[in-house]
Amino acid sequence: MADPGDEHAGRTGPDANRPLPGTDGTGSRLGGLADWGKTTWIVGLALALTGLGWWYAQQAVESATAERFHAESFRLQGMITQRMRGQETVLWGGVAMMNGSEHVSREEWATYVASLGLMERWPGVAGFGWATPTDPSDVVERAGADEAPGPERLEATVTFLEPGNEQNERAIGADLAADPSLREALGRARDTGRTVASAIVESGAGGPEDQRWFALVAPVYERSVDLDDVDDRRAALLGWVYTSLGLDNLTGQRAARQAGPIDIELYHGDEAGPATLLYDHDPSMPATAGDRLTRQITVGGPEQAWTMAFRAGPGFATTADALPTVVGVAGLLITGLLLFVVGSYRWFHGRATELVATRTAELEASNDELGRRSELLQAQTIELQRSNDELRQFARVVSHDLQAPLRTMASYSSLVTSTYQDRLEGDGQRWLAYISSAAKRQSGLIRDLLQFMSLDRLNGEPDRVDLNDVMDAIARDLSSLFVAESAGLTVERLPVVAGDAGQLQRLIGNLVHNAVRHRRPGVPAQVVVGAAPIPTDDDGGGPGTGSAGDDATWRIHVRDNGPGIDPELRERVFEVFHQPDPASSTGTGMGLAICRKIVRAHGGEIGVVPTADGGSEFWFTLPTAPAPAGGDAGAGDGAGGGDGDRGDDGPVDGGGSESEAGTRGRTRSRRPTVPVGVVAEEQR
Amino acid sequence: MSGSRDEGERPTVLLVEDSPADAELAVIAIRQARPEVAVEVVNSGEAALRYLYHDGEHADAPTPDLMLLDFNLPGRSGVEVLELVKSDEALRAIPVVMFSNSNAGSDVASAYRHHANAYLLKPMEYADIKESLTALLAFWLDWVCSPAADRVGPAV
Repeated sequence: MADPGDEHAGRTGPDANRPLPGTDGTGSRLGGLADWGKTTWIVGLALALTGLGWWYAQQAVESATAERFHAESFRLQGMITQRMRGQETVLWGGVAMMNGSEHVSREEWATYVASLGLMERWPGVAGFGWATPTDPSDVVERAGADEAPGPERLEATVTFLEPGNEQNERAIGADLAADPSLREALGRARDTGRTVASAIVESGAGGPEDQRWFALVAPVYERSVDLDDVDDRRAALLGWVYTSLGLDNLTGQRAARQAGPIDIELYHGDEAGPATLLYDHDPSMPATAGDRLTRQITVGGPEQAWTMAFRAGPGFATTADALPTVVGVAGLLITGLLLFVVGSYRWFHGRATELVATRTAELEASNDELGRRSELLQAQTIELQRSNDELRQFARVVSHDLQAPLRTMASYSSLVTSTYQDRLEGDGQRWLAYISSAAKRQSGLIRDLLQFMSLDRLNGEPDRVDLNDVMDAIARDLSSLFVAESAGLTVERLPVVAGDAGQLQRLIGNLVHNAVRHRRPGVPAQVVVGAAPIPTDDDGGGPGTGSAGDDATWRIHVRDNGPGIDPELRERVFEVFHQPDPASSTGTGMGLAICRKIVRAHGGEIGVVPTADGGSEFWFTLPTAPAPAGGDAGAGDGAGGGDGDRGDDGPVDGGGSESEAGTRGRTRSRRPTVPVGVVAEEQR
Repeated sequence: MSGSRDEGERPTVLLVEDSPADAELAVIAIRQARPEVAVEVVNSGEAALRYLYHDGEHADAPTPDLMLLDFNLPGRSGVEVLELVKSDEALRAIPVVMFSNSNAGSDVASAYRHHANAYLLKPMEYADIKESLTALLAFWLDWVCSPAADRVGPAV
């Protein structure tokens, strides 16, 4: 995760040390650590729960398995014990038969054995026989003497052996005592008078030949003889009844089948060891001592003990025993899933945090940029203001200090001319006039330049300006010019517009002045000033109605009968210092440029079009003044009445009269032609 | 024309003008138009105030009947002098006519805001100078009433 602090480090400006609200870098860093801690906790807890679940499942399964094993082993134990007891009983049956009659024939023995159903009821029993000592008198042993030399002289000849199959037939007549295990068992049975199990017989006569076996041996003594000690028994011994049991299927198919994956080991005596092993149900099963699912028990008395060992094999565990594994795997899966979810969350959270940090940094950068620009703008505004102030100061200096010398030149030239008139030659007077006119011309130029410079915008809010009043003032100002040029002026009804009265007077005055001055040689100028509303979409009134809506625009024109303007020059006449005819001009060349500036400052347009008779029509547009409450946005009503007495003095020229006569019928309050000549004469 | 004044006492005009050429031109024009008018010329605003307050060499100078004040003066400007004169109870009645090389709207407005009696653009032609001064003197010296006891109106 990117460190937000680094993002902040690059920041400059007054806010550099103050992080934005909610984006505190330290906070998110600590939050990240806490999140890692949480993740660890969650995963750890999940693992612990998994382990606990696995352990409990293991315990439950183990205890259930152990119970099952014990139940099974007890059942097997019972089965085997019963079997052994049964064998013993059968054996004692044989003993009883031998005791019960003087002489038992082989047939009687065979009948008895057959009646037992030996093979069917006692699987594993290979034979049921009668062995007799060859020479009982030889078997005289000293008391307490070592057994080892004793059995050397012991012989037990197999007399009967049923069932009478081939291998049992072969065994008849063989010496049972030839095998050490059998000899020991025979001797012990003889000496104790009890049933004795032999150790395993690896290969010996009297039993099955194809497998290892052992024998249960019971002694038969002479009747009515006291059997108080070993010597009595040895002396009274008639023979032994024995059964041979093959070890391969000792427990029988049934027991083996029911044992299942439990290994059964049967030992001879009370010790479990390879030497005493009688039966091993599944020799492939490892004899791991100490296993929990192992049980060992010794049954029987001190004379004859059996040791049984039960051991659960790998197959003993059922499918239910897989529960701990299932629990563990499921727990690990869930933990992994949890880790994945938490990791994903953390990743997305990290991404989001990064994104937020990036966006915040970008925003700050853009804010800084904005701030810088704002400062720059402010600085530029201040600079502009200062520059404007300087310009104003400059204009002031120019208007006063540059004008003063020019005025001095002009006035002193004229003073010399008037004072020394009689002493100056014609040339001298003319030359002084040059000085004077040049000074005056430059003075006018400076004045126009200053005005041009100051006309970029309106000074304050626009006023309601009645152009009829403006025209009155212009007519008065230019009256002497009109007289001098014998010019005529016709003023039609003019609207009230929004603007600066002084500037509008200068605008129209300039146009009228130009119209008078730029005349055809020998033809007196005829100037017509008029206006018409420009219809707009929402303006119902057409041209000539004399009124327009609030949003309407007026087109005001100053028309002359002059020589017209070359089409190529129509746009250039509004440029600064443009003089269409420098030789004949007395102007500064700035008049129309000032006009254009004034119109533009009022939000209008200006242009010039030729008239039908070859003259020029200068036109410009102005917005209508918003109507005052109850007022008339159209032409000033007082204009006609106020100027009426002057109008009554009579027009100066016929052209104006014609125009007046032609329009009077349509507009009642239309202004009359201004009789400039008469006014001028009155002023003189 | 000067009948309202004591015999032998000439009306006085105080001309405040820093340009010697302009000052001389005005003096010439006044002499030609009204030879009986005494013209006192000072070339700065400070000098004008010293004159009005009878300071130093002007201890015995008469209070002017009319002040012709150049708008553009070095040091104390014409408008400042005007302001001081018009804010002084004793001097307020003296008509002050401002002369300027500029007819810029702000200049004119500033002059009238400080109670100038008139504002004139200095003419270019000597003839116009003479004409304007003649009319000016005739108006202020002959026709206008002054609170001073010996100036009670036109002598008709």
